[in-house]
Amino acid sequence: MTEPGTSGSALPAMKYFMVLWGIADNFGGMTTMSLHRGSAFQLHGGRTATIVTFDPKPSYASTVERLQGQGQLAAGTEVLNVFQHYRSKGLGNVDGPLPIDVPVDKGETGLPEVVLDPEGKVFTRTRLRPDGSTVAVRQFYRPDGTEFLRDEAPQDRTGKGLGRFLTLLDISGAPVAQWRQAGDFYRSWLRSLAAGEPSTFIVDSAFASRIVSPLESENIIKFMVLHNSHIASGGDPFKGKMAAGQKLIHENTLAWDGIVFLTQKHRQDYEERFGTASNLFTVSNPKPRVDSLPDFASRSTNGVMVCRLEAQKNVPHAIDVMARVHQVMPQVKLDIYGAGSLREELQTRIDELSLQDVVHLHGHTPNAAAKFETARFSLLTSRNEGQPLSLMESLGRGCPPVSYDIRYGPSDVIDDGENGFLVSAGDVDAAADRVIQLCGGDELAQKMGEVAWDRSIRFSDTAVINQWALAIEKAWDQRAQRVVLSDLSLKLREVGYIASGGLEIAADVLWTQHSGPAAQEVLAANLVIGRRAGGKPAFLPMEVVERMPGRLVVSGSALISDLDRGVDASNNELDIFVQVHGSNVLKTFRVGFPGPTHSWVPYATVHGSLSLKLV
Amino acid sequence: MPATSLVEFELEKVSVNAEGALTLTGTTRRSDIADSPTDLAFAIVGRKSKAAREYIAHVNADPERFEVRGTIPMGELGLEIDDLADVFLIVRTLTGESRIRLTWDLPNAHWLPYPTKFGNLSLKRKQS
Repeated sequence: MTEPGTSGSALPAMKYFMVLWGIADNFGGMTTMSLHRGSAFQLHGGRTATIVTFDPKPSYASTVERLQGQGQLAAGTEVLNVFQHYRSKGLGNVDGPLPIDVPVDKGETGLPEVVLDPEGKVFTRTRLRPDGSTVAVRQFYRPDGTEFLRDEAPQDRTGKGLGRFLTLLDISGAPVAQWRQAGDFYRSWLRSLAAGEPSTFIVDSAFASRIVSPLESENIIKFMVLHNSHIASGGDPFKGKMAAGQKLIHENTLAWDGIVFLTQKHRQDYEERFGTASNLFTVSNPKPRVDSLPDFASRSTNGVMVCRLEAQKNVPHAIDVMARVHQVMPQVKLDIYGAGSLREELQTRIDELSLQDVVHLHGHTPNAAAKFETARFSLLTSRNEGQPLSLMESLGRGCPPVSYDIRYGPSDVIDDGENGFLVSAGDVDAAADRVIQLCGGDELAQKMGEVAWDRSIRFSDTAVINQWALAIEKAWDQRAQRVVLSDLSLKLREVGYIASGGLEIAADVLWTQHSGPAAQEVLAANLVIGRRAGGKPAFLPMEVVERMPGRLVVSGSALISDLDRGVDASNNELDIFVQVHGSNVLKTFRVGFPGPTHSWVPYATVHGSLSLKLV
Repeated sequence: MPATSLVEFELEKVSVNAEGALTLTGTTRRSDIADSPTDLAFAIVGRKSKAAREYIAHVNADPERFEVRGTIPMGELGLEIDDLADVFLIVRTLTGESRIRLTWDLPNAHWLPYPTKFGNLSLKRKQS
């Protein structure tokens, strides 16, 4: 394999693939960004990128045509789908497991459901089980009517599943290759697309991450882009639960050459809670500014919000901000562009506050971002974000934002008082004060708008492509150092409670190694003291007592001073973890209470005596 | 008064291993127990039943002090009707027997272990 070079382009000479599960008719920001990146790699990075999808859809032709017409997909950026690929391009030299006989299905099935392609030819025939949702068999057909793929899940007479069989068939109907899991089939296809050449897969969909995560090949590097907070509902970064959709990603970050955060603040929160690793990167989404700064003279005293009318966007706070502004500056208005389930509720609030002439809900508006070009200010009062694109659009059109300092995004792009204002999340009065400042005179708003537009060059396609190039080069260079292992686990040996305060832990770290440097020479561990009420955890290095293939023996202690450090009086509980780290490996284990459940555990009586309690 | 009543015991560590065995480690002054043959045991006494179980404590002597250590298989305590049990060091000499209640070094040990409802290890602040 040749080493990828730059050949005069910003991006290394490799094959590039943007991975989505599918492209829905009404897709959101994540898909938008993936498609945009694919186009930008071609237009600004000098490398063709291919969008790959896995949803069983007969054709993307009309979708691609529409996207290209809307400028959301560059001409020449190909969209490939695993099923459409094998349907139209033939099997080629399929490198897959040899087929075996599929057990005869003795379960009940309904009538076949047929999906036609846009030309009216059969694409799939699907038979479901009586429950109406479980697929018994799905047959895929070429335009000439021959079957090219059969996806079967046979059952015995009792309804017991006998496994899954995905069989590729040649034009004569003979089985060519067969997989027992859909993921293995998809990965075989991805490997065939890479064709042994240096390749980068960038995954935006958490759902598709399950396909790419186990893809291991020396010519392939893979990145996972985190579009949203890793914490459920954008909760507290130190005590919140992991977002369900990202759980599998974070449980196995070592599988990736790159975990990509959109903002520095997001990455910082992640590292402060879980630690750092060689495969963590920060690459912003691109949001190119307009070519020239819009004329300030064309700006009104109105503000603009572009957002969905959903709870996350916290629009009631924006209405409250305008209620305060209205008391001082009745001429200042706010135009809100976007649709959502809360529209009626929001209009009721506007009516109750008699702000009908102040706050206007315009609903969905094509190219709403252009409204920032004639606005004096923008507002962002969201509860949480991944990286708010509307904020970047506002800056890129010279419209200074007034934004809550929420996780994540605003603090990465707003230099408070220079290109906009940051106020504490929920501080309606402060936000209103900043709006009044911006509307109180032209000089401040004009100056801030100029700085906003000027600094927005950092979100340009070229700037972001350069960030990607650095990340890809680094990931490629360090791919040989990536430790590939599975079944990483912690087995507790003993926990010791020091009678004068403090804690000792001895444990085995266990794994199965597949490739890369010997993990036992790379891995280390920290005892982590988590503060239940919030705040950064404390990391205390553990001693590696013994190193051997597949196992480390580690021990560590926390003195009473370690447990106390940085813990305020309101925090009455500490949670104990062990973090295993080294190279690309980063995994935190919650330490279980030692011993079997329903056993006796030591505790202290009110007088400080040692007693045992049955739990 | 029996000489053993003067025995002092300083609890150093309470360990629990993966199998649930509790190991108690502490020290006593050499002069307390060096003068005559002595049997040491840790006793677990049910709070309700008053039923007691004893487990041999072993001594490792050094010139100044004795380290006392004993292991209690908590999975086999068998005090079903009790949900609390107290822990003592029993010292028996030719002249008598003493029971010493084991204590944490409060207020220094103000973070004490407990299992969460999911069976994880957490520490709770012991309010003074």
